[in-house]
Amino acid sequence: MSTEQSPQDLLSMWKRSMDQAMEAWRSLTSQPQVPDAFQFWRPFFGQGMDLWSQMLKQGATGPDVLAQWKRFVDDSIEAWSKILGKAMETEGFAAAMGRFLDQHLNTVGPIRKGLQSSSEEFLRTMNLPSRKQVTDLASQVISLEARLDKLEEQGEKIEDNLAGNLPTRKQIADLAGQFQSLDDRLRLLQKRIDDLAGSISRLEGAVRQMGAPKAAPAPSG
Amino acid sequence: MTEWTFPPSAELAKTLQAETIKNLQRFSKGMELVYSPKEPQVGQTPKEVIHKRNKSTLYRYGDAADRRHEVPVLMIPNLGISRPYIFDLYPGSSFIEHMVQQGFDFYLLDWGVFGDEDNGLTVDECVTGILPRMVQKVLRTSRTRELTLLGYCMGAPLGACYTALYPEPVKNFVNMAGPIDYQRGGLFTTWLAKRHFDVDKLVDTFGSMPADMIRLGFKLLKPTMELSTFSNLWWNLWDDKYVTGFLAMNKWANEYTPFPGEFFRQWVKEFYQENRLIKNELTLGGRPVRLASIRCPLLVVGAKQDYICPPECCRALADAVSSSDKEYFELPGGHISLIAGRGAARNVWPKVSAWIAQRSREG
Repeated sequence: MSTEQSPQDLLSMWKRSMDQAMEAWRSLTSQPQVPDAFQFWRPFFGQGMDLWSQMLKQGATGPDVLAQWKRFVDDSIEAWSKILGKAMETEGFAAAMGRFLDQHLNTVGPIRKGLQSSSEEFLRTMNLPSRKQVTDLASQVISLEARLDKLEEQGEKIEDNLAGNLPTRKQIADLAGQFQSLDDRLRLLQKRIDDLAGSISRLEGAVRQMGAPKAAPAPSG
Repeated sequence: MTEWTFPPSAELAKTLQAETIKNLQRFSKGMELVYSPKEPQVGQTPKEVIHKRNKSTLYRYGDAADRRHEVPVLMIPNLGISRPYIFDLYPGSSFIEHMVQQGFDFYLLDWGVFGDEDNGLTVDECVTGILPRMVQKVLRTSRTRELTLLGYCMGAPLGACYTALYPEPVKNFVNMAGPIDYQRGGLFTTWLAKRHFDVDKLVDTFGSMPADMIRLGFKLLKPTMELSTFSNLWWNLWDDKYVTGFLAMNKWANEYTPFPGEFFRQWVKEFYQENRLIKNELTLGGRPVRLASIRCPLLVVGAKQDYICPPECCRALADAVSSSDKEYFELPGGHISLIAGRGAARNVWPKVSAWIAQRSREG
């Protein structure tokens, strides 16, 4: 029996270890069947080989090798992007991501909880505030700020209402002008009444004078 | 095999020379980026703070002398996910700067960065508490009775809910890439479906939706985006203007903010999983939200290659409202292409500002 391993043996060993790894991953993530890795990666390699052979067939068309290289890179990236995009649209990918997140949370959750309680205990011992205490204090400040904002809002509403009901300076000035005009008219009216009263008095005097009997002449002797 | 075709030798020499210079510039600027990176200056349009409520800030932009339109504009961006300086990236590439230059009295509601103390914040509080107060402040500051609401991304459904509940002060409503019919929400609809995504478990574990998980979710939408971004950066590294734009956009694209826990729980359940908004089953603040109550002029803008809010997802608003004056237009590009970049400045902003300007006389 030969002690050297042939390339075929090595390949078989490698394939066996890949299959075992996939099986382990499958049982960890509770997938119903082992996904075929080659099925998944074949389109990538195929696409890359197609692009490469296309470029070789076409050949360089000028000395601007860098620009051609850039175009090749851009086209490869675009191709990869399309394939990955198609893979990520699938329910399988979404389900795998959901399971991965679930596992992650199942692992991280208890660790976070444990760390949180032990660090709180430590801080309490050291007479230092914990994150939760600082957060609670901040929440109270936020609540206070919200109330102040509410008060400010109500104050603004009152201010707006008053501004709507109170007369403006112009309106007051107009009103004063009207009062002044009224006052002037009243004075004029008063003067006319006074004049009229004076006329009536004079008329009365004249009438009295006219109506009074002539006085008898005084006796001589 | 195609034969090599060489241009005449003088032209060839010129081409090679130009390419060599570019490569030297790429190398030099690359080294500069790595060894002495400069923090990009973003949000440079002058603004003043009008009101603050917890983490949310209301900003007013521009000078009184430049304002030509009677009706002010209040922009409502997405809550959480990313920062709103994308709308004011840098001079020459700023939607806010454009609107101010067009003579609008422009306001922006910056929701802020929420912490653990805000995990109790709900969608109800945002729509029936924060938004009405901010609208009130806009009307009071501008001394008007009406305003135009402009919602981008998640800000659009929040704005639509507000308009449906309080239609009186809203003269016009603009929806830019805002999801309304979540059944047609693309990848997020599939990934966040009830059968795959346990939002209660996530919120109960973390208290909020952490920024890192949001980053992962958005990067997964287009996993090759980083590759193409850096490939394009390398290619254009010789161009100072491109590098300035890249640094500003890159800063924004990597600065994610968390969702308050209860907000995220309600958002996923009532909007994504149950699609209550378009089905007229949504209730906020104890009041039913009916999109048919919206009667004001409506503009909806979608992007053809938007994988966050596919065009059919935002277009649904136009069919759900009772407005007689409504318009929908769609442009090539992705989600961000409506709000940032040369394409946006050329194709989107002038259309949006012209539409709003035509409808910005009071009364």
